[in-house]
Amino acid sequence: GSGASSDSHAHELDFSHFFPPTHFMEEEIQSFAAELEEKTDGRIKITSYPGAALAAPDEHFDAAATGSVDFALSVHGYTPGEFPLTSVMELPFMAKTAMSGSENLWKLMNEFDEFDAEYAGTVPLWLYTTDPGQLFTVDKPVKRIEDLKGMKIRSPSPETSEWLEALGATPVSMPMNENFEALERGVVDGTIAPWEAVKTWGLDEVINYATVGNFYSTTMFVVMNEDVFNRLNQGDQDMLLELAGERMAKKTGEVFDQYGRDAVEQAKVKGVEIYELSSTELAEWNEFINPTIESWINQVEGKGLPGQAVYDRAVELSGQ
Amino acid sequence: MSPEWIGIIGIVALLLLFVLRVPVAVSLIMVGTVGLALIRGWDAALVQLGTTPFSTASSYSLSVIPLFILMGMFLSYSGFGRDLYTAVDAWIGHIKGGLAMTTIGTSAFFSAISGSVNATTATMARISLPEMKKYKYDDALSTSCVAAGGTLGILIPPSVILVLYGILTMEPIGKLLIAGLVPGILQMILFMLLIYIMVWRKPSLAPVTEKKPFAMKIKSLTFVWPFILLFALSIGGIYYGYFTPTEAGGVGAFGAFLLTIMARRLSFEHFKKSLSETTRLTAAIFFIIIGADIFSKFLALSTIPVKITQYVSGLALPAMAILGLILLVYLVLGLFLEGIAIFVLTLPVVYPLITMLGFDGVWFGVVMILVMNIGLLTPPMGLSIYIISSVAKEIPAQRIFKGVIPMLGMMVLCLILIVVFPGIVLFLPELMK
Amino acid sequence: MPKLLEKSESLVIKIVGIQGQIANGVLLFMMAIISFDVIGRNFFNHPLKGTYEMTELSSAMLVFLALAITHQRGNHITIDFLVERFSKKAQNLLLGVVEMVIALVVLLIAMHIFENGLRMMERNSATTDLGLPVYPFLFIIAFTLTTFMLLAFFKAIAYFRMAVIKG
Ligand code: NA
Ligand code: NA
Repeated sequence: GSGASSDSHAHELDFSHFFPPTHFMEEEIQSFAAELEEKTDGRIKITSYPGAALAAPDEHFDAAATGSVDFALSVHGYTPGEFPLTSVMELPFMAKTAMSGSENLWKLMNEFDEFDAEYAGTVPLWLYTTDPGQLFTVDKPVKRIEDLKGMKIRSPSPETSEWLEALGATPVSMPMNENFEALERGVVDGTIAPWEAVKTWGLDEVINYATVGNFYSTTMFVVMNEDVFNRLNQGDQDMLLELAGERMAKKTGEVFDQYGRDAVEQAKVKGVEIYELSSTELAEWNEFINPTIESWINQVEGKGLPGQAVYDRAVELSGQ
Repeated sequence: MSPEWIGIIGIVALLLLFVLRVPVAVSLIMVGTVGLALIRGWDAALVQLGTTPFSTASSYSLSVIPLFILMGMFLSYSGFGRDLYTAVDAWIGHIKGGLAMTTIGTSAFFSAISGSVNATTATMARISLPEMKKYKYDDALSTSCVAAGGTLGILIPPSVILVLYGILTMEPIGKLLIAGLVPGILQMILFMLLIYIMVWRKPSLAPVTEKKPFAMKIKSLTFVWPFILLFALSIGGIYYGYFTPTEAGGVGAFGAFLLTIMARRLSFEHFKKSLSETTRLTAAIFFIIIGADIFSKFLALSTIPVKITQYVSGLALPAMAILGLILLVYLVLGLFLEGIAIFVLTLPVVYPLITMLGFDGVWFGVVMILVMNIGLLTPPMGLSIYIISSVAKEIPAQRIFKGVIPMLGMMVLCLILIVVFPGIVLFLPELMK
Repeated sequence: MPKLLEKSESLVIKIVGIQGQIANGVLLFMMAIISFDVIGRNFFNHPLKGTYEMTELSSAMLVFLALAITHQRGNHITIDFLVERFSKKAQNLLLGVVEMVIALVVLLIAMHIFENGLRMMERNSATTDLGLPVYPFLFIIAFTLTTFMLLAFFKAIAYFRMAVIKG
C-alpha cells in the first residue's frame, strides 16, 4: 500500500470467526464494528461472518495473512507450532481470570519484539484468553491426585496431555464438538475446559463435578490483513488501534469472565459439585506439572526464542 | 454488480456447467472461485483454492466416511451382505417390496451407529444395491430406498447435526438427540408404507419370490450372525462408551475385516478390490464436498441466504404462515447448500423469531433436520444422490434424482405431520426430567 | 513427438496407479490406528498418541492420492443427459474441452496448495500431539494434483483425436 493516507472513501471489510452466530463474541464483534464505523464517520464498515462460514477454524490466521478475509478471530492452539511465544499463556496457573490473562498477554506481546514474527502479514488488533480451564468430571469427583488415576480426560493441548499423563490420567484428544457425546456415553470420564465452554457446549447437562485449579487458558487472536490496514488513512489507522488493543483485550476478557460466572451459577443450579484446590494441594499437583513447564521453556529456547524470559515475565505479571 | 446478482448468476452458471458434463465437483469449485473473486478479488479467491481442499479433506468428522464404506465393502465382498438378503428373502421375500423395506430397516439400524447421512448412505448403498439388483428390483426403487434410508442417519441418535444445533441455539443437547428418535421411526414407517403401495400398484418394480419352507427360513438365519454380531458390537460399543460414533467407523471396518478373515470369506483379490473401491469412492465424494465448501463460502458472501431469511422474517403474518414461508425458504436453500452451511447462515435470524412466535426450540431442531434431509435428495446439490451414483456407476445421477421423488413426497408428509402434531417430536424429551 | 507424448502418458498412468495403491495402504493404516487407539484406551489405559491428527492427515492423503485414479476410471460424478443427445463428434469435442477445463482448475489448485505449503513451512505449522510438520503433506498433495492435471490433459488429447479421426 503506497497511498497510505491518500484515500478517504469507505472500506467495506469482512470479519470472519468460528464462534456460533448466537455466541456472545458475535455481539462483541458487532459492537466493536459499530463503534469503529461511528468513530470513522462510516469510512470503515465491517460485516461479521460467524460460524466459520468463510474459513475453517484452523484457517483463520492464514485467511487474514493472505487477504482472503480482512479480519480474523480464532484460537492460537488450532495451529500448533505457529505461535510458540504466545503459547506461554496456555501453561498451567498463568491466569485466574480471563481479564488478567488477556491484559497480560497483550502486555507480553508489546514488551517482546520476538512476538511480531508470529503475526507476520497481519496487524494484531487484540489478543485475549478465555476464563481458565478447569477439570470437569462425570461420575467421580477429583479432589486428590489419586482420584485422577486411570481416568480418561479430554485434553486441549499437548502440554496438558503431558502433565495429565504424569498425574496418572489417560489424556484423550478429540474435537470439542464430540465432547458432549463422549462425556455422556463415557468415552471420556472428564474434560479440561473453561467454564465458558461448559455453558456454550452444554456440557453441564452431563458433568457432575468440577475441580478448580486454573490448569489451562485458551488464547485467541483478532488480527487484520496488513495490506488492508495500510490502505486505511492515518487517522483511521490510529482510531482502529486505539479502539482495539488493550481496551478490547480487557473488554473481551471481562465478558468471558462474566459469562464464566454465569456458567458457574447455572452449573450449581444443575447440581454440579465444585471443589476448589487449595494452595497446599496445588503445590502437590505442581510437582507433576512443573516438568511440563520446563520442557516448554526448553523447546521454545531451542527455537532461538526467549522462552525463559517470556515465561518469567508472564509469571511476574500473573502475580503468583 | 451487487453480491446478490453475482450469487444468482453463479447459480445459473453452475447449472450450465453441470449439463455440459463438467464434473459436479469441478463445476462447484469453478463457480465458487470465480464468484469469490468477483466479490472479494482474485487474490482472496485463489488463496481459498490452496486452503479449503486440504482442510476439508482432513476434517475429523468426515474422516469417518471411508472407514464406514470399507466396512460395507468387506461385508459385501465376503458375501455376508448376500446372506443377509437371502435370509430376508427366505422370511419376507413373498411380501411386496420386502427387500426394499429391509433396506430401509437396516439403514435405521445403521443410523444408531453412524451420526452422518453420508456414511449411512455410502455404506448401505454398497451393501444393498447389488443384492436388490440380483433379485431384479427396479433401479429407481432400490436407489431411492438407499437415499431415503440414509437420511435416517441424522434423525436417529447419534447425530452430529443435532449436536451442532444444540450448540448454536443452546437448546439442551440430550433432549435434542432423543427428540430425533420418534420422527426417525415415523419416517422409516412412512418409507416402508410407500414402498408397499408402489409395489402393490406396479408389481414389476419388485418381483416377489415364492414362500420358503420353514426349515429353509431357519437355515438362512445361521448366516446372518456375523452381521448381527457386528451391529451389536458397534451399537454396544457406542452406547457403553468404548468409542465415539466417529471411531465406530474404524472399529466397524476392523471388526468386519476380522470376521471375514475368520470365516475365510475374503479372498486376497476381494480384499484389494475392497480397498481400491473404497478409496476411489471416497475421493469422488470428498471432491464434491470440497467443491460444495468453496461454493457455499461464495453463497455466504453473496448474502443471498441472509437476505431472503431476513425478508421473510420481517413479514407481518400469522405465526403459521411465517413458519410455512421459512420452511419454504429452507427448501429452496437446500437445493444449493449443505445442511451445516444453512444452519450457520440462517439460524441467527430464524431461531429467535421461531421461539418468539411460540414454537418449541427442540421441535424446530428436528423440523430443520427434516427439511435439510430433503435438500440432500434434490438437484443440483444433492450429495446423497451423488454418493449413490458413485457406488452404482451404471445408474446416472439424473435417474436417481427422478426416482427419489416419491420418497421426497413422504419426507414432506412427515414434515407436515410433525408441524401439525408437534407431540410426535416432543413427548419423548418431555419424559426426561 | 507423438512417441514422446505416448511415453509420458503411460508414465503418468503408472504414477496414478502407484498413488492409488498408496491410498489403499493409507486406508488400512487409518483403520488400524483407530482400532489400536480404542483398544489401548479402554483396556490398557494407554491410547495411541496422535491418533486424532493422524486420522485427519490420513483422510486427506487418501483422498488426494486417489483423486487421479478416480478420474482415470471415470468415477467422478457428472450429469450426462444433455450431452448424450449430441452427435459423436460434438460429444468428443465437448468432452475434450471439459478435460482441458478440469486440467486448468486442478493445476490452479495444485499451484495454490504448493504455495500454501511454502507458507506452512515458513510458519512452522505442526500437528498438535506429535508435532509433525504440515508442509510435506501439502507438497505431496500438490504433486498428486499435478499428475491428476496431466491425466486430464492426456484425456483431452485423446478426445480431440477421436473427434478428428472418427468424425
Ligand atoms: Na445416527
Ligand atoms: Na439439494
